[in-house]
Amino acid sequence: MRKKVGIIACSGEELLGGTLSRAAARIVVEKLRSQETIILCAPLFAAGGLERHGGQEERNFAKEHPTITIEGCEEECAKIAVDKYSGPPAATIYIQKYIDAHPELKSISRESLGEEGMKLAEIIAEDIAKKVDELFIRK
Amino acid sequence: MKKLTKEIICILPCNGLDKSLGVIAREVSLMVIEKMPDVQLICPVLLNNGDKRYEDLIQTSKIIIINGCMTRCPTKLIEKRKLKPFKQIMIPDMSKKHKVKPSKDLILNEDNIKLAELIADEIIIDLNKSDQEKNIDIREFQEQEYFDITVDKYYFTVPKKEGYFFNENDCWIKPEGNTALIGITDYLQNAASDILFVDLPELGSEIEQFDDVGSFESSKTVLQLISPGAGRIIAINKSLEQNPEYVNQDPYRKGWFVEIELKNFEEDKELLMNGPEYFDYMKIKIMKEKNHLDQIKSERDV
Repeated sequence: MRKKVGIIACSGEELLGGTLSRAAARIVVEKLRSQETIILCAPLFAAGGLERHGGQEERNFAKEHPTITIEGCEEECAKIAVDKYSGPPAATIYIQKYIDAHPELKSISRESLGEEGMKLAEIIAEDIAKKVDELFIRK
Repeated sequence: MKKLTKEIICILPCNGLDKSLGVIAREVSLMVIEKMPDVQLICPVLLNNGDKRYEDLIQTSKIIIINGCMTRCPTKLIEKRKLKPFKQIMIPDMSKKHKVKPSKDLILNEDNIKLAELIADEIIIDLNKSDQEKNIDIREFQEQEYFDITVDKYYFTVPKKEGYFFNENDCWIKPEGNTALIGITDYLQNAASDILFVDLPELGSEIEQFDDVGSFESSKTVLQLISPGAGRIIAINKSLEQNPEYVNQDPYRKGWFVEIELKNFEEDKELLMNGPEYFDYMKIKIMKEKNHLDQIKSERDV
């Protein structure tokens, strides 16, 4: 049985990159590669899990499975967290690169993507899905 | 004299993307921020990574935590820093309380959105409540001496201390620099008898000299405070809403109504009396009333 790929998105609420990263992660996990991926909770990663479960579920998953981090800004919170608790991520996606590449796809606000913002999230999600496929090929 | 300071409020949601509970937590925080744009949103992951701006902010803010699940990630982040949140919300508890099941997938259904709205409203109500409590502007006043006169069973006072000015409507103003406290005199509170309600004006409103800037109601009557000065209202004595009796007990100090930023007090002063002048004016007024009442009484007795 092939290992699932972990997807961990930036949790940023203060910036559009955070909203796009969350939307793209969900498109991958719920639609594009629902069988191959599992979503990881970034805050849980940061704080550690339930003590009675050993407190390390998300972190252990990322230790044993390839994990893709999606970064909403240059802070690279998801990458830093994965790196710190589980080892280097398998791949990192930078949302800003997509925002710069598609100036025509403008979101309504940092919280609300609107139709054009969702199109951009889908483009990002397609690329994440490709990364997932690459990781499967590598395996 | 204490001034009102604006407190920073932060909201630290779970933001978890692996369960709908986390998505509800996020939705709640966005709803609060939409209604209260001054509230600062904190990203738990960035906080965990040691963002300096967040670290500084949470040390001096009122923190609201929204936990998506029993792991209580945001709570852990705050406890780790030995801070105490103002309010903690557990989405599963709220879901039980409001009998709304979280959706199984990450897309929130209509009921979940409603649940988020209910929780956001509860947070806003709590914040407003605490704001009102904070706005109870308790000031310390020094003991002071009074001119006094007793007529029948009634006792009337006027502060001896310089600095109080009075209009003919029995209201006082006490300037200090470019601000001034305003209230009603002992004569007026006696005339009103036991004050049951005080209606105060809105903060920030501009008033002219002799404008009506508030009213108070007793079992006998409703009377107005007629401002002895012009300016902008910068503080109101919120404690009078809970304790209107302060006006009866201590009209020149604890019973103050509003504080204004003065516009041109030198001009206002021309139409006002100082303490001794008002005391004389008040005595004449009291005696006239007493004579009038005595006359009515004697006519009735005849």
